[in-house]
Amino acid sequence: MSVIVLIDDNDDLIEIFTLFLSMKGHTIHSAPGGREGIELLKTVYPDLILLDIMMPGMDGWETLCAIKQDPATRALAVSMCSGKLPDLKEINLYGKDIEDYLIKPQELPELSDTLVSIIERFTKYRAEIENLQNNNPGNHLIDEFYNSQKILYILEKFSRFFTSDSQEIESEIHRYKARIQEIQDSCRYPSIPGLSEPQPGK
Amino acid sequence: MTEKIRILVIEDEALVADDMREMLNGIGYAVPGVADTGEGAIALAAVHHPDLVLMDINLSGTMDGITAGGEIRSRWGIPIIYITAFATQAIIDRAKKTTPSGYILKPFNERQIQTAIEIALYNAAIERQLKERDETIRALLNAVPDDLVLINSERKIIAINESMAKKLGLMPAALIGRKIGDFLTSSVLSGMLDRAITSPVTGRPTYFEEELNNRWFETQVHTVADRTGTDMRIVIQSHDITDRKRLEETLKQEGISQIGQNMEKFQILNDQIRNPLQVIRGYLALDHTKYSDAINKQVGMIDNLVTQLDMGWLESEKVQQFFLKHRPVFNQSLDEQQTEGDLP
Repeated sequence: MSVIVLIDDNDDLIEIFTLFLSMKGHTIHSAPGGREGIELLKTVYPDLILLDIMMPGMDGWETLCAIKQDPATRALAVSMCSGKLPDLKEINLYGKDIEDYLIKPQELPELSDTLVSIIERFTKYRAEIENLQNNNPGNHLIDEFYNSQKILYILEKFSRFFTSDSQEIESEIHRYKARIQEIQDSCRYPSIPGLSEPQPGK
Repeated sequence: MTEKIRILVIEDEALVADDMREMLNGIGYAVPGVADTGEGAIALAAVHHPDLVLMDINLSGTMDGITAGGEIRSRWGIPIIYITAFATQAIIDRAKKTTPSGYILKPFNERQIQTAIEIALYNAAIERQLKERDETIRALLNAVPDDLVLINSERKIIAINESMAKKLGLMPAALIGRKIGDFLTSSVLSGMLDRAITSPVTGRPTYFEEELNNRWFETQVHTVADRTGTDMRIVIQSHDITDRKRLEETLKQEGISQIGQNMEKFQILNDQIRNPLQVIRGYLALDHTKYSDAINKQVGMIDNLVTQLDMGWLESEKVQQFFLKHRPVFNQSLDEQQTEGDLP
């Protein structure tokens, strides 16, 4: 069972998510905004942060940047959870810093499973990266390799929404794939389990 | 009764001058002054501005009648009738150069002088009308800020305004009779003139827009048949629409960013809509009733609608990027506009 932090400005949503996730045995902490969330993370060390984007004051992307800039919280797993679709700019900019991007409304009975699978995937590849970094100290390609896979995962997950942008998205996907293949060919790094075949849509 | 025609008599023989004054008065003309020298003639003309001058060629003093007549004619446009007892070809040639209205040999009778005066006055009136019409046409041509030129079917320039002449680098008078083709830089216009000249007159002008030297012009070619119907005249009118073009581009640009802003609002709105959907779905899952599936289905439909709006937003951003990327010329002209500041 996991420790999960919810950051969302909608009280009812916090309540209902907390209820469902608690029923599945998770420990839930919540904050009604980005600033409160950052404050909460000084005392709580969660397995996953579920982060809303459109919030008054400090929004989700700003909160994400704050989390990733602070050495104390940098290694935490964050998944965005928003009613807003990501655009190409956002994916390229923040894709490497998030483990997933969930679109509301989520099916509540399956929410726990969804979050657990994100946590499992994260835990696995975190261990993988640490192992690789220990064996190849100072190799910057390791980060690029995994960051590219994370961005590619989000790109492929949302590619169907970009109907008229499909060419641009396709070429981005192609670019990341080629880069990943290039690094893989030269370094033989294992790919992130679960990221190569994303679940379609939400 | 209208005012009497006023005629100056310039004659160095006093007796002849008196006879002439009497004769003219008898016909019904007024004689406001008589002079016996060229200098005197000019002085009288300056004061009286007569309708006509009867000018003896041989005068007292140093200035002869032809010199004085030429001066009066060129300064005030007053018609001159020369009177002389003898006429060598050399004298006639000199007199011609002052464009006289008549030439009477002494001795003359009343009938001769009256006929000469009437013809001279009639011609002077016609000349004045022509001059006024020229002035009117010139005023009309130059009143429009556009470039205007009128040509015939041989492409010769019949009339041209100052604005157009300036562009061609010559005075309007120097361009009359020249071929328009010697000056055209627009191949589009050349092609249109070819068509206009070879096609029948429709009475409908043709338009085109063209960019020349960083400015936009709307040019109109209008063919009109002449009065006899055998020849045509072609009016070429060119209007500078650079400001309008820039304004259109600015509006287009503002429109694009407006769409973007609206879509951004959609994006925020969509997030606002999905939050309650999430909560509804949550409560339904928590407390299952016989209506849960139906309500869930409706939630799904709203969610689909919102997704379609989302896709609209993503597409609008793409359109926006596309416009911005493919309009380097426009961006450049915006910069110019800022430095010139000539946009209304």
